Amino acid sequence: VTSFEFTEPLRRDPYRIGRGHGAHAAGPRHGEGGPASKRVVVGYGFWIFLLSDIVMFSTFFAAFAVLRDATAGGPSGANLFDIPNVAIETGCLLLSSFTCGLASLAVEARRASWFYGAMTVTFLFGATFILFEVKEFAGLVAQGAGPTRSAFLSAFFTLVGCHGAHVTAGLLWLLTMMAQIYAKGFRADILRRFLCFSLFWHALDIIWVALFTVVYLMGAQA
Amino acid sequence: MGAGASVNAVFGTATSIIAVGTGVKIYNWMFTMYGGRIRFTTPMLWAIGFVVTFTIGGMTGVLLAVPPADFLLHNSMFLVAHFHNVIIGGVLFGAFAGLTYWFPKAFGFRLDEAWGKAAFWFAFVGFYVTFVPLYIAGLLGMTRRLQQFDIAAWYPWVIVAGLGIVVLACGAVCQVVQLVVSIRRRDELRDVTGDPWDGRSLEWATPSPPPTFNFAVLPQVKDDEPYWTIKQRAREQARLRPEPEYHPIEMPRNSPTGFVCAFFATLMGFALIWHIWWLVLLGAVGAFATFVVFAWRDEDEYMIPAAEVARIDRANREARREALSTYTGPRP
Repeated sequence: VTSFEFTEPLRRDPYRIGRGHGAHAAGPRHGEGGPASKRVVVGYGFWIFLLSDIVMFSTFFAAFAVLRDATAGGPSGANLFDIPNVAIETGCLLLSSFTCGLASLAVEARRASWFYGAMTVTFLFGATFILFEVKEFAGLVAQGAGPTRSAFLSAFFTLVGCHGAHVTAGLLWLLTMMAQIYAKGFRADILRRFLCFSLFWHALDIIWVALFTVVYLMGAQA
Repeated sequence: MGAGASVNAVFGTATSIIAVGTGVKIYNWMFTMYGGRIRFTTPMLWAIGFVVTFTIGGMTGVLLAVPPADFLLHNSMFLVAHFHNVIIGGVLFGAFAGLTYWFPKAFGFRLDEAWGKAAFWFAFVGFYVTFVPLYIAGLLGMTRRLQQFDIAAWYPWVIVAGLGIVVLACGAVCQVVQLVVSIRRRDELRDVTGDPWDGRSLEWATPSPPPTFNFAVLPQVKDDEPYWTIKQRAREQARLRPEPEYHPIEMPRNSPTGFVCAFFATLMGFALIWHIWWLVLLGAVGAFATFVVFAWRDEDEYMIPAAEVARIDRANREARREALSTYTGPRP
């Protein structure tokens, strides 16, 4: 901190925007304060990606909301949705988010065995979720309620399937993360990558909560 | 439009709301120039042409925000003229202003001014000669996308618009010629200091084209125009800032991963559409394998040594010292 900052009138930058945390950053000094730490930069970049992903999901949500009653004489959500089944699915995903949080704690504590354990449970919950979803989709198609049946079902398969594709990609990423920790240990760049993974996994959970409410709970009432 | 009262109300309201924000931006641009010493170089011409044309396009847009007027003007040549007014004035002219302005920063040499100005005037005049008659034809009832028509009252306006297209095309030719001429004369047009326009913002503190690390030393930003402050002080004291202490700079390694992943993902998307399942699998495995190979790198950064940073910055400081010693422009 230079004397300049004390003599600066407060009104110009009362919250000292852009003058924080840099001084604590590791790495070569690069001017006063230095750049933000890599953890901050990587996390920020990944948040921007997640927000863009959520923007995409919100358009699918909007499409579903508009097309919910466009059943073209076919079955509606009330006829099709098996709420107890979806409730188990939801439970799996929520629990997997919790165990993903445990994996984060294990990473903070550098406890490899806890990390592998928590990640394995996360994977199993996630895989169970996907299994239930695939069974639901297969059942719908078998009874003639596939994505081509009506605009409602097109919107349903697009929205729910897009989330399922994200979870599937997340499962692959999860296995890759475990392999990386195994092969390379708790290295700084691997930890930053794990931070992104856990953000991704929690974001999928948040989207599912909205999806469960809007698609299944509200859809089953109609 | 004929889509019902509620849709008309939503579109009308949304269009009016857009007009508010756009109006504020136009005042921003005018107040940015207000009180300044405006030089009519090519980028400035494009920028002023953009503000004027975009404003006119915006005003005809406000007319279209009124549902009863929109009901009549929908699908007419008035609408065609309006959106070309906004797209050409608002996107194209603005993009050309930016292109001409930052070209030397990206490529290390300026674009030829004479051909640039010719391109601007042809495009600017050609634009109005083309689209103002189309507004009038629209008000006379001409709809868009007509294969043929036999209404004599529209002919003069359509013919004038056709002549306008010829003028606009001359502008486009000038743009191409400008680029060719500039590339051939690039040694004369070389931007040696990195600050060809006597700019105020920080990108002009770097050499042109900038080195991979952009700034040899991260600039300290303490006021609205840090580079201008630095430059004015240099002019007052007739010497550059003292040489900074150089440090090695850490840079991410280049990687083709994004391109390769996108290639496999495109294959997969194509195969999904056409139900070619073996190709879906190939695309998915290829994209994931590329991702894993990328994630497995042990060294994803490299250091540019302090000596190399110093060499690049000193060369640029030398060019700037030379320019400062021959500077004859206004002083603070």
